[in-house]
Amino acid sequence: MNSKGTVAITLSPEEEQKKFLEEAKNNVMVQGHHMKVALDNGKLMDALKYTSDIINELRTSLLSPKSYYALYMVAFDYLQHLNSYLFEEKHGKRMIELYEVVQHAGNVLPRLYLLITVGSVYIKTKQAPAKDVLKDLIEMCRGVQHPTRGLFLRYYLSEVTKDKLPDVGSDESGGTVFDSIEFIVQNFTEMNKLWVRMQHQAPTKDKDRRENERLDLRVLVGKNLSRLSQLEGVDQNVYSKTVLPKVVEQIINCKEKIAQQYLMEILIQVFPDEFHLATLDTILSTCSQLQSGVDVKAIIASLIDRLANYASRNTIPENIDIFAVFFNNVKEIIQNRANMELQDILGLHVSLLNLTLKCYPEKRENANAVLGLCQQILTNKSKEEINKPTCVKQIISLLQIPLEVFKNVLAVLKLTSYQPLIQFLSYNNRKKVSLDIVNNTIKNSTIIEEPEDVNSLLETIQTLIKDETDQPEMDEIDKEDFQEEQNKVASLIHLFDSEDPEKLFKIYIVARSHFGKGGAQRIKHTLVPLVFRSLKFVTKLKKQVDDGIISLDENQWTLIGTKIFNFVMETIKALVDIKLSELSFRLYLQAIQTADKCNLQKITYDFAIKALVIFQEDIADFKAQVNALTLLISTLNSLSLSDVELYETLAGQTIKQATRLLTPHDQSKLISLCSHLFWVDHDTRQYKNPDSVLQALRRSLSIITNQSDAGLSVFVEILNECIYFFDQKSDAVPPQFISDLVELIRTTHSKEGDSASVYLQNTIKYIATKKESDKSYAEISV
Amino acid sequence: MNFFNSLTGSPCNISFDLDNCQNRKTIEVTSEKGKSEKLFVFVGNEPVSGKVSINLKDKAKKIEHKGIKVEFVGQIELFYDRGNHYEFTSLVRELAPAGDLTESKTFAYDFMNVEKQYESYNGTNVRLRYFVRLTISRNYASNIVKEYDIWVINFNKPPEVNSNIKMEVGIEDCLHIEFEYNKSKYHLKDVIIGKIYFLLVRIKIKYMEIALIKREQTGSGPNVFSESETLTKFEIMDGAPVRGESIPVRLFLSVFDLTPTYRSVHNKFSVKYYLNLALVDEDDKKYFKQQEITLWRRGVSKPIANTGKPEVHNEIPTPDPDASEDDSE
Amino acid sequence: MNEITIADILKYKRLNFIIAIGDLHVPHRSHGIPPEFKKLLVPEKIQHILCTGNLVSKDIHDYFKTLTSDVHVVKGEFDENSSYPDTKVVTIGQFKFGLCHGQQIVPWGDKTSLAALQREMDVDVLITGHTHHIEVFEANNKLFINPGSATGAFSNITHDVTPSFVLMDVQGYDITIYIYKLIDGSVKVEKLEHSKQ
Repeated sequence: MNSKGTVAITLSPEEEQKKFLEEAKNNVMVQGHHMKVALDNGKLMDALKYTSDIINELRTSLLSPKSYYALYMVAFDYLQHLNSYLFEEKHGKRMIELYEVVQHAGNVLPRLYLLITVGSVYIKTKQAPAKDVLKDLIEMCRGVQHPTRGLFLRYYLSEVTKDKLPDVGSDESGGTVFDSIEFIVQNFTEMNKLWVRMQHQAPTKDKDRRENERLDLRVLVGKNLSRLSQLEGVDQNVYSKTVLPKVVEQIINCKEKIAQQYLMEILIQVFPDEFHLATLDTILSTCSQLQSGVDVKAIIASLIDRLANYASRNTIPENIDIFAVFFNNVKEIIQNRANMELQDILGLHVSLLNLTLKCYPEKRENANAVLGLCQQILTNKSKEEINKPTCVKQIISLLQIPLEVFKNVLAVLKLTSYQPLIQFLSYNNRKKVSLDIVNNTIKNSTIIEEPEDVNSLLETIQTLIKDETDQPEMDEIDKEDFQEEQNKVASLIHLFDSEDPEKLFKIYIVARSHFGKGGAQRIKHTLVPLVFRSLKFVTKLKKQVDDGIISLDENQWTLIGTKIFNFVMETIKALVDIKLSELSFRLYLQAIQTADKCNLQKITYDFAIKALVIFQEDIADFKAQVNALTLLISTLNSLSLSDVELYETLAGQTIKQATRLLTPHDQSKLISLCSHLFWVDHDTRQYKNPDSVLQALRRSLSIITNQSDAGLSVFVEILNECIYFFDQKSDAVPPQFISDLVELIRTTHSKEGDSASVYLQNTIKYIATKKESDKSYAEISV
Repeated sequence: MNFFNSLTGSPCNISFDLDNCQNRKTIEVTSEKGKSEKLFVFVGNEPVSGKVSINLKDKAKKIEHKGIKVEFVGQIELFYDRGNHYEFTSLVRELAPAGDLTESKTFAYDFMNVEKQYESYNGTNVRLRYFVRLTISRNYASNIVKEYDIWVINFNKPPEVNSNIKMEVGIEDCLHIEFEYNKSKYHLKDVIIGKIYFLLVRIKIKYMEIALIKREQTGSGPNVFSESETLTKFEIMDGAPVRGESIPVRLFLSVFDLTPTYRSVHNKFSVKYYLNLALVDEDDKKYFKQQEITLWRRGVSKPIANTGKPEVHNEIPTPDPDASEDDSE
Repeated sequence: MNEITIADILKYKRLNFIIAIGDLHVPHRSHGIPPEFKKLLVPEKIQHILCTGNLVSKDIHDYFKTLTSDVHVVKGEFDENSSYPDTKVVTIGQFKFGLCHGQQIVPWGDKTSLAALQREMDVDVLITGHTHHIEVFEANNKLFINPGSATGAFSNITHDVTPSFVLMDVQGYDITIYIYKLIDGSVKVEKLEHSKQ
């Protein structure tokens, strides 16, 4: 019967670890203290025994790797103390004796820690050749096959010997750098084997925990590679011929993904870029042989980025074509690793693309090769896979990078695999890429001079140009965004240019055929610039003909001019057909002006008729009518149309329309404007019909006077028109007319507070001022 | 008859003095009674000579005797067979005929060519001794006897043939190893160097050790006693290896209290040594393989000081192990 | 007329910088404001924008908004935004600025007709466009400004349009006028002065 009740306290695993660690640490410190005291008293054999007891704590199987590491560090300090003692103090013992004595220890772990400690002093005192001692130590370390304990033992070996390794410049009797390489490589190989073994020895339920524990210890293994890189004797040649093959062999043969991943990354990190450059093929072919769980993309991408950066600071030796090596190897790797994630494959493409653009910017065929490979791969992938956001991101990167780097869309379009890649994307993404292309072209003001290039460009961005089968419904599309996009596309037309008129016209025809397919929502944006460009084109052409730069006779010119204006006519008609009457009207007016400048009177007339038809049939809003008619009047007024009959026909039509306006107010206003139709006075034409001017003004006045509720404004406008013609010295308006008008306004229609009263005041002030300086004003009374 | 005399012990003190012992090595030996004494070490073919002094305790009392002799004896004492001592070698020197010993007297003796082919041995169940024995024979009282032990060692000739031990052992589908020791015959200050190579590992091994075992076998026929002593358990591997691993063995023999292998000492006993390679798995199950090794004593006899005589060394050949010895698990 | 550097101008930390700009016709007749101009149009240095119209697209108006919050636009004949007024009067400091596109003026760009408009709007400074021809003149002690086309857009009225705009600095009763032109890839500036009577 138990007198004491025992209570079982269950600790959590972390608490348990902590407890074990504390206990072990305490034991170590107690024994360590004894060791130090023994050394102080010169009792070496006793000290060795205490040291043995210290290491006994390291024989534990209770600690996690992290805790073990903490314990190891405490023990390490004491071992260092012993190490210094052995080297510095005059204990009188020969190393060879001590080397044997410590091997009498019954347990293998203390035996080996002591052996290594003594061994390092052995080497330091040069009582034996370093390489012999190192060889023996590393052989004996095989005695510890437990993964964690073995790892730390060998880590200790590595730490303690790191400054005693034979290297170039050291005495050759102790060994050469090749002995050191062999030593480190062997230690590395054994440590890696132990590290990998940790994974396989864990029960499957603990697999994840094991992986984390292993990650905690990875630095121990990786340090070996650092040691190799620190040997001075490891130059590029030695690295390529001796070091790398051995390291790579171990990495491949261990067949474990965590080890492979980490070691490849460390390998690339600790050795200089020049070495990697010289051994690219080896590294990459190693990658292709790694386990399927290894993120090969991360390794290769980091390598590519490093070398791309290196290339930007240094010149690459000519015999190394980095791109070719990477490209061919990556191709193979992708082929061999059937379950590689698409986003990783694409990530590699992006890295490759960046690489070639950085290292071989002129070799554009490389960039195309990358895109071509991508195209090949995507052809065999499903839509769902391709449309994953991560993959889409990469594909878009591939398409954007050439744009950003070349800064010239023509160079980009020359990449034959560029356009096919766009087709793999979903509608919105195709649109996005197309917009990038457009923006890039505009930003860089890239001029496109060849019709084939225009064709190619518009085909490439066809998602913006016309409807496609997978585009969303109209009501799902944001109207503002759509407009912005189309305006951008429309702007593009201004970058199509050529010195050769034939080519330029062809360009516009090509553009027209593409844009024409866009549908009503698009052409209202895209056809307008085409119209203006054509007008500008024909204007320039005329000038070149006039200046004799281009030789065309009258007939030829008329033929060509007609052709171009027909093109304009058809283009505007497309807008008419979708009921954009106000816009088409204004475009017709522009065409009128241009045709007039080109001295193509018949065409001028045709356009004017077209404008009038639209005005009559399609412009219904009365404010719009007023605006349109005003424009028509001023347009006609600006023309050089020499054919009087034609002109008068048009003028008459215009007046007719003015009389038909809805309100008398508008009628009056516009008829008064029509007065200008009869007074054209500029360099290229004079058409002066003062009677008609006055007639128009009178007519206008009569209409407005008959209005009972007419405001002041029209009157004042008419007044100012009169002043206009008076100032022009037209003799169209007699002074008395003006005086009467002023009187009329004053007496009958002058209202305070009317919006036009200031106008009136200013006008009268003007007249008054004019009277002071201009004799002709004398007869006007205000 | 002097009853008092016999009751109060020996009437004289006897002390032995050996020649050529000033710089002679000694060895500390625990006697049968548990006492620890220092004995001079003689190499087998060295002559034993010296003086023995008999000192009367009572100078007045004479000792009547039937004769005084000194013997050099080599004998085997088996513990289970008390009282039965096997003298395998003995030489007698008569020192004095019957008569009276009236005063202390010192006699010289000399055993030149006494054969000491076996080494002295202090074992668990058997002892082999060499001693000089003075006997004063008496009529009416017991004989006065005094023994003086020496310790004899013999050097062995380096073996002519010393092949390594290499063997593949295992359990089907479980464990296959090939172990190798660099020699089959080791001298007492030698190092056992070898390796254990794992051909197949399907069990979870915790550690591996080599035990050095000394087996003393005494008796014959129906009374055979076997005493095994594990001199050391030397851990050679911590943790579980995988196939293809090769674990080094390096065991320094100089640390241990060893004798050479005694195959058959006068047919009375043998002392043999074994290496016991043991693997322990996670369930503490042991797998082992025992292998006999032959130990021999290496050395050159130093010329004995003062005699100037060239020494003829008759080193005893190191015997070969019996082929029949083989304990497999 | 002296060449003034931008730095000289920007050294002044005054509060009344006005940009008169218009007839950009983006995207109808141009793909954008020249980068040389964009470099000069720095947000912190502009307080008001008076735009003669024909932007055409919303992008341009948004761009102006990034330069200053006080943006005034009048309707040109091609402007898509129908909410722009035909005329606008803006008072800045001691000056009344009148803004009108100018397609309504018959004949286009005619000084007499412009004078009438000035009388109608009763402004000190009349800013109009439409002709794509940069012009600054005084008449009847009033200031008339046509900033031309900022993008050098094609015009049937003016041959070979030079991209231009105008910057005004209002100080009390004085205005300093800077005319910016883009000629052969470099910006040329002319300076004029005007005072209110």
